[in-house]
Amino acid sequence: MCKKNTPLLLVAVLIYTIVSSCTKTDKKLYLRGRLFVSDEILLGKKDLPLAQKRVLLVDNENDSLNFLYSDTTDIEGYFLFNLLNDNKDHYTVRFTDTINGYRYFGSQPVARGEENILLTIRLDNSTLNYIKISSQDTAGGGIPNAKVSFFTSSVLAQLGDTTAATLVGTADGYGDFVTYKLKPGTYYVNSQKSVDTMKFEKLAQEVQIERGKPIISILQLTRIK
Amino acid sequence: MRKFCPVPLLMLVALLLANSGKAQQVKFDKNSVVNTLNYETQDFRKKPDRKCHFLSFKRDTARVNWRAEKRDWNKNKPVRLDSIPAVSSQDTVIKAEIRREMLKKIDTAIASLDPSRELYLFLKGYYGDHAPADLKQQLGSVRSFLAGNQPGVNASHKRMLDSMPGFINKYLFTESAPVFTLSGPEKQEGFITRILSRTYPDNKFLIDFYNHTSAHASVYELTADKLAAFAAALDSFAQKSVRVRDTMNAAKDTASVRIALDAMQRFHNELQACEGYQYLKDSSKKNWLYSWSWLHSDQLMINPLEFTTESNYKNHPLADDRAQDFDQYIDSLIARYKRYDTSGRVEDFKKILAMKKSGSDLFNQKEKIKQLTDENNAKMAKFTLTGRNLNEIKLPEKTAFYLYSTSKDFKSNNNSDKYLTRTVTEGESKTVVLLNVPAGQKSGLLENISESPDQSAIGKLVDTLAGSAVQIFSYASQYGAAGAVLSALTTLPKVAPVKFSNNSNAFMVSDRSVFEEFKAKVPPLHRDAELLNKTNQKFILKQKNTNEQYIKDSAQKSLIQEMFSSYMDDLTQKYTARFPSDSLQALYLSRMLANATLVPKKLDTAFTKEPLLTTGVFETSTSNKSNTEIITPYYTKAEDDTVKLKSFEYERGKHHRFQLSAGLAYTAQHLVQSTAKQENGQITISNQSQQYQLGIGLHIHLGKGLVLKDERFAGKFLERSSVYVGIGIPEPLGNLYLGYSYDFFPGLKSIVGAHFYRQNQYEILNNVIVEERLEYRMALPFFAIQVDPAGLLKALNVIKSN
Repeated sequence: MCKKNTPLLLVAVLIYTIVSSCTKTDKKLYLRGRLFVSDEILLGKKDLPLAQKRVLLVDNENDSLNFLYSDTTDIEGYFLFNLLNDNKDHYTVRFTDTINGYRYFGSQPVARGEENILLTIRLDNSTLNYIKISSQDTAGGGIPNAKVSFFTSSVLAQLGDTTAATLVGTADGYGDFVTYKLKPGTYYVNSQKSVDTMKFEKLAQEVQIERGKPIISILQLTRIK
Repeated sequence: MRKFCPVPLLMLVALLLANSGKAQQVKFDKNSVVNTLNYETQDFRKKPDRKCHFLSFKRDTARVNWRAEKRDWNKNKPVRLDSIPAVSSQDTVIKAEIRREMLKKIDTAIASLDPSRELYLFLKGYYGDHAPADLKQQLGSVRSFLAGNQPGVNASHKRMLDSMPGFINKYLFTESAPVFTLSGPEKQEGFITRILSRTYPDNKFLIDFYNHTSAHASVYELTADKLAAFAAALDSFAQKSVRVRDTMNAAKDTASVRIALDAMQRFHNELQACEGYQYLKDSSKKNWLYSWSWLHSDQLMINPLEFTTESNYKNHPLADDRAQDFDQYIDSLIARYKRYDTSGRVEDFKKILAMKKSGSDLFNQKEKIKQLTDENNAKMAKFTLTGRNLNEIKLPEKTAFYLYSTSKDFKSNNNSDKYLTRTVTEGESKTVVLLNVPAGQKSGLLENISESPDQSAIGKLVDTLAGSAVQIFSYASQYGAAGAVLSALTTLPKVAPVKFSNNSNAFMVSDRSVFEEFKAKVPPLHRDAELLNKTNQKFILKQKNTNEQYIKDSAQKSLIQEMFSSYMDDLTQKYTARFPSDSLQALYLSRMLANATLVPKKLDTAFTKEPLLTTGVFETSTSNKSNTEIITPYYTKAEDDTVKLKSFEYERGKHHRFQLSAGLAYTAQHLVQSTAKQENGQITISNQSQQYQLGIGLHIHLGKGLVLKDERFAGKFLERSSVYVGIGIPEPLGNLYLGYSYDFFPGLKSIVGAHFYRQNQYEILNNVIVEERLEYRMALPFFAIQVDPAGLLKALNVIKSN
């Protein structure tokens, strides 16, 4: 009897196995997301999609040097990673790059199969040499559009010739000028403003720039003619 | 996300198909069952200790058919025929038929005892006036018993016929021993044998009753010589009676009448003195005749049997005179040798002595006697046959076989039995049991074997897609009706009373009394004491008046004459009345003795062991080739009359250890095969998820290997089971399959197992494939339905071309 029913029993087991196996959920092998930048300092914008930017897929989020492989965002900032079927469930997507000379950074832990990853990058403050020069008159009023120049030599600074300056910039409407570009060191700063035939000036103001340390220096311009 | 999977649906379809293929029950045509017997497939594989029952049974032919019944599978329970309605009813019917036949004979016998019938007249004349009534009463008693009106049996009886109910009760009623019996089962030499036998209760009754009556009657002591002498004597009396009748008829005067009366009286006296006439008069022989008076209805017979003893023929009158002359001559030679000197001729004397009484051997009509003896023996064998084996049913002890019956018209049944049509393999054979084969006739199997492709039905289907049935008891009535009534009886004229004249001078008066004188005047031949006394009484008064004073005078003379005349008148009337009876008895006995044969002292019962029908057990031949085999069972009714039974056809296939298959394989587990490529400094990863694969593989079948032609569902477990090793198409190295396969139908392979798919391991770092390793992973389970790859390719080609 047992022998006779063996095939039927076999069929029943097969059917059960097939049905039960067909109820399993599929395993997703991709990651999909969108890259945004948020920089109100330099760019003055929030959540701006970034196109044509390389997004890295990182296995170990503590490893800032290496990554697995990358994907480039499309024109709308979307990125897509096809994953290897290696049974890993968690990854990190990372962005590290310079925009307009400034370093931007973003990292996001993700799980396999995520389709709405939001990777937002921000300006990397840790590497900025922040100095703010405020040009004022003797009464303390801000002198708009003052011409600010940084010299490494006090002598050259005393000459007032901007062609020998390391960096030349123009203050804003409030008389402020900000820069992240200068290397740490001693600089001599000139601020000059001409109004009609009148000329206001402050030469060779010494400032010390340190990494990661914001410096605010106020220059009072005086009328020279 | 759930996906639709078609494989379970396919499995369900296969299961439904399997259920639809259940064994068909054989249906019987009732009309054919009446005259023929059925056959039924027997496949006792599941129950080795099989017990069978009659499915149908025909009394006249003893053909049987068997059926296994669940309730009889009990090993310790014997098969009882009386539990089978068909057989037990036959027992009742047979005995009732015998009783009916006996009733007819007894009724005829009772009717023959009517006063107008010859038997009545003979019995009345021979045994006395009360004899007919006595016999009639005895027969009536038996009749009542037979008719069931008197169930009681009188065990003490002086009259033999009164003992008959006891024998009837013993053999001819339902409560007696059964007519049909079934022996066994006996197991011997690989067969289980049962023998259906029957008894003949009529013969058993007759033999037992015969031996009982014979032992009391001593009729068997009658010798052939005596019988011949009795017959000759009674024959002489029969002829004489005719002459006496003629004399009487011719008598016209007193003298001739007296002569006739003298003849009648002499005839009567001589008849009474005849030994042959007196032989049957004693009470034991009378009882003997009475006991068997019913058997031949209106004829009394010394030997009621159709056969006689051997000595009856040895001394048969067919031996001609030459035998007697020869014996006399030899006797005279012996006498001469004795009388005279035989010295020197002893050897010759020995030879002559050896020829003593050999005349009958030399000159009897041996052939004729032999023929008569043979006929006699045949009749005796038939009569003494109290039982015989009817049907020897022999079934093999092996577990599977097929039952045929010679009587069944197989055309009325579809050849639907699975045992017959089931495919066999190399070296295998089928066992065919042919029931009801006439004994002594040939039977066997006609085989028509032709080679055929060893291909499964599935394979053929795919190819088609690609291209497209004793004795009836009867009494021996050959004795027939009684012979013609004796014409002498009917033609004998009534004799007119003879008037003797008072003036007769024939009477002389003497000194004796009137009565004495009267008696002296009556001739001794005619002195009848009864009549003399009657006449004396009639004239006693007249005698008293004349005795003393009128003695010797004319009155005395006159009285004596008157008495004589009266006496003679009475005597004449008596003679004329008695003579017909004497004549009838002489003629009746003459005929009885002339036809009589010697009576066997005792009858022995006989049992014929040779069955009427036997069983043939045959094996089909074996082969190692792939064949189509057509088998036709046959048997012979006579030398040139061969009966072929319904043929059956089956396939013979080979065992296949290895089989290839191709088809669709479905892996239930979700699997993804990832491939990474480094192109232009970028890593491109592609994932391929393919649960359905075209697969092809090798099956290694277990057991003896797969039989492609065995079209049974499921079949033998081991043979249908196989280990499957396969690859995926088109990436043979990317997909490997290892599994268990079962052919629910040969060639249609259902596979389940593990799918090993290639999954290379990549080490990727900074958009560079640093390392790539070859690796296989297992996915469980996979299912596949596959068929022969060649057929599949053909089918695919057909589909492609269309």
